[in-house]
Amino acid sequence: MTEPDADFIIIGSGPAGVSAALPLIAAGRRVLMLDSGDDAGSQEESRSVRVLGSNLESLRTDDGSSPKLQTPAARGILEPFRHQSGITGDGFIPIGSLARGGLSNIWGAQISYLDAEDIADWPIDIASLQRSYEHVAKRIGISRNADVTTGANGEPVLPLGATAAHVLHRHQAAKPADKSFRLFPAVNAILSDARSGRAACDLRGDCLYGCPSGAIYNSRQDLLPLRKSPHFRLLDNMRAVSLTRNAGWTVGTADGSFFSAPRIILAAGVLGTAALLADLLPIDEQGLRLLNSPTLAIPLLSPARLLRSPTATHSLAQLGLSLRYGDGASDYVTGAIYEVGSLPAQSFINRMPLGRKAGRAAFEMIASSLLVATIYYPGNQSRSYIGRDATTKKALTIRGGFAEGFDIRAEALKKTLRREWKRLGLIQLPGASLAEPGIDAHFAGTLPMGASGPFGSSSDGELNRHPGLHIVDGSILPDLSSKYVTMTIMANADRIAHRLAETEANSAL
Amino acid sequence: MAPRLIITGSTGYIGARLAAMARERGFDVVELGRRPGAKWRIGDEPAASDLEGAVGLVHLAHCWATPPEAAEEENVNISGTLKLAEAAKTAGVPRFVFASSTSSRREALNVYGRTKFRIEEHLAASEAVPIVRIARIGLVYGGPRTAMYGLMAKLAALSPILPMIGLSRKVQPIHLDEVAAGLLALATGENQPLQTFVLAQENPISFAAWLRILRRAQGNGNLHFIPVPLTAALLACRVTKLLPLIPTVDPERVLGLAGAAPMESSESLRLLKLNLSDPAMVLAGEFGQTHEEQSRCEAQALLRYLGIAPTEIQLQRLCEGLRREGLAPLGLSPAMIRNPALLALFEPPANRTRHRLAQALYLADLASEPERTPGKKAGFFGAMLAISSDVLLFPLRALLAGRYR
Repeated sequence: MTEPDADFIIIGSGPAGVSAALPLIAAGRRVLMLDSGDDAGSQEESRSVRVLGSNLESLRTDDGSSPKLQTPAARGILEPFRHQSGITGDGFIPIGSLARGGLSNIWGAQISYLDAEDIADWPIDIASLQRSYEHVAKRIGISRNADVTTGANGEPVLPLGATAAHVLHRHQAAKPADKSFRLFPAVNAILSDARSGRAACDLRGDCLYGCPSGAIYNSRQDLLPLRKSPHFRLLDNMRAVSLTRNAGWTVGTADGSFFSAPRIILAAGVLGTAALLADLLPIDEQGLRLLNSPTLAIPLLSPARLLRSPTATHSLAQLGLSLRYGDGASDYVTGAIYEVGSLPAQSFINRMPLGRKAGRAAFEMIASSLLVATIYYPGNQSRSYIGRDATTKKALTIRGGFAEGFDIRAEALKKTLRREWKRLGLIQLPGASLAEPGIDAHFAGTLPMGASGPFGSSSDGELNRHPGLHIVDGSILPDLSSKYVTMTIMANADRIAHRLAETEANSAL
Repeated sequence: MAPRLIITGSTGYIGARLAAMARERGFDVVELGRRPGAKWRIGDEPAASDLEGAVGLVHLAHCWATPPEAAEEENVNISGTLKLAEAAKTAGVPRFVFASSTSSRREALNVYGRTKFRIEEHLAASEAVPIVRIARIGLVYGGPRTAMYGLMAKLAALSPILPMIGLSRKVQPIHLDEVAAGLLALATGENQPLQTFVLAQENPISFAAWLRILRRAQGNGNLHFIPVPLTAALLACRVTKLLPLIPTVDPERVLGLAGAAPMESSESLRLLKLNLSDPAMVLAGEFGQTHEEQSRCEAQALLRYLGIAPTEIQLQRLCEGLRREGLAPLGLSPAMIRNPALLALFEPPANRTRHRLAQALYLADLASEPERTPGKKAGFFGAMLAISSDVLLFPLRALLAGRYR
């Protein structure tokens, strides 16, 4: 074998990739990161360019997806993946990114922590995960939405939108009969105080168009300190396309280059990682199980807040909620509540049976009293598979679907939710919709830690039967709770990287 | 001192362009004729002081109010032209250019053609012969859409099927700029032979083909004709004179179209060094420009309808967006462009995404988004008014929305 290019090659510069790189660099390991994106698309853009796109991409007819995925920023991030990954969907919208920073470019930035109960089936203990949560939280900067009138208690806070605050007060005043429903201020990876290279949130509400001040965490930001390290090397426009095992591992890229290292760390995102491993795994027609969270969007009206002035706040999640609606182990959902007044108006006007002028007037009149709740089911309520025609070895196709009995449980959920909305003084408006599987981009569980067989991996994310090949993205989460998953992916990658940093880089040789 | 050039009829379709071109080329232009405080009208004896020292005179003025078959002395066009030419000769003006027409012939169907022919004859017999140059001008097009050209352009764009006389009549189009250049060359050039010049396309085309060129240049499709006999057309003209409230059509215009033989122009064009351009190409360019103006006006109306005072950048964005989506021009009527509030009568609901007007308004809304101040709220009553009028007008809009689908 020729001289390896590094101790570790990390594929992908998203949240998982940087979370794995930092502990390895800190331990003095040499890391080569291959990124299919580059530094293009700087933050130095006018609002006009962010809202409409440098090429006016935004002046296109509304395609009906969520406002978050319609912005020019999101299109620029998602479309190259759609064209180049070779992954298609069948009742499933494959979402991935080849851009620097991966999906963190359009991540909703909501923070959730798993607890011991959530990870009962994982081959790790909660203490190690909690340590990593702390590492990540310290690094990315987290703020809680707080009601400014009640005063802050020392921790970093961002103002809570007035309508969200009103609903939260109602919740606290009229406690639910049981503890099945919880409503709390959302925790987001948004800075309320400036730190090196990033400004504090300016409450302009441009979040969906790509935060101009860098207040919302994006894994690009972590590449700056990494690149200052002499042990770290980042190569642009290197889309990994093949993995070959010899004495160590060799990564082939789309431009024909090869890089080798004793250990490879895959952080290409669940779909990207599956595409890269497709030739090493016995994917037959049944396919690779993919967990993703079914997502329900519900518009809500708060009559008490009608005709009030909107308050300045960010346009990411204001409140978090969790609800247990049945006795089954997976009869629970979590969710996020957004204030519509801070979201782009067009997406809502486009659905009104009024003219545009009257539509905007109506929107401006009621927007400040509107909320949208996005409800996430646990991943086991999905039945999605990554498949490939074994004989023709064609590209991957993901078939989307829902678990058996999902519709019955959905009815139970709707009933419980209606009761809770009523208690909170909210009117559920028509237009609630279940998103097509995949669109939420909460993916996990293709190569779970602790599972045996060719599709399993070790507690260190090392793929069974392929020593030296570690996976740190969502692929290895054994199950997908309904909670926001990015923070957990980052913490798990941090945990694995700390473990790998302890082992000798050359032990695999 | 700049050489002086005298132009009569300088406010007309050809005259205005000629005067502008002459000034551009450094001539001191003296305009004789219909101007505020003008000293001279066709038929008047011109003041010698106006004529002296000029390098040339181009006579474009024509009086349409003369009784058709009046005797020579009473026909102000004939007597006035002769008077002017002889006065120019006396004042020492070296060149007198008379603007005649390719319809000029003894047996022309229309009075205009016959009159021009009679003037040519009288000039040939007058004392002014040594300075007279006759320019027979073909069918002039281009530039401002006025006069005969404006009428034809409008007609051709009117509908894909047109009742029309004289379809097989051959016409020889020439662009306004080329006519002006030709007249200027005749009025100022040295050593031009004493002859009748023909300013017209060498290869005549049928009148039907000419109208098709005009229609296509305006971005419309093909044109089909229902041939109308001349007698029927003349009868129709008389009827228009009798009926109140509809525009009258002068039979003179109809007769002008009704029949003439093409004239040989290659020798004249060579002498005047005129290289005539292809009308289809030139018109595509001129009307294309107008398309842009039209979509710009429409973009402005759309933004104003949405209650936005458009800025330059927003207009540019919207024009670009409309163009990309194939929505420009939308075809809004001039009344709608002047009063954008009228759009309320035609606007479909915003969720009708297949509707062209709905799409255009969506783009207009988006184009103004970057400059919008977040959190700005309209008044409650204004909003209620907008919403309730929207709802009340709905049945009417359902009927009218088809217009811009």
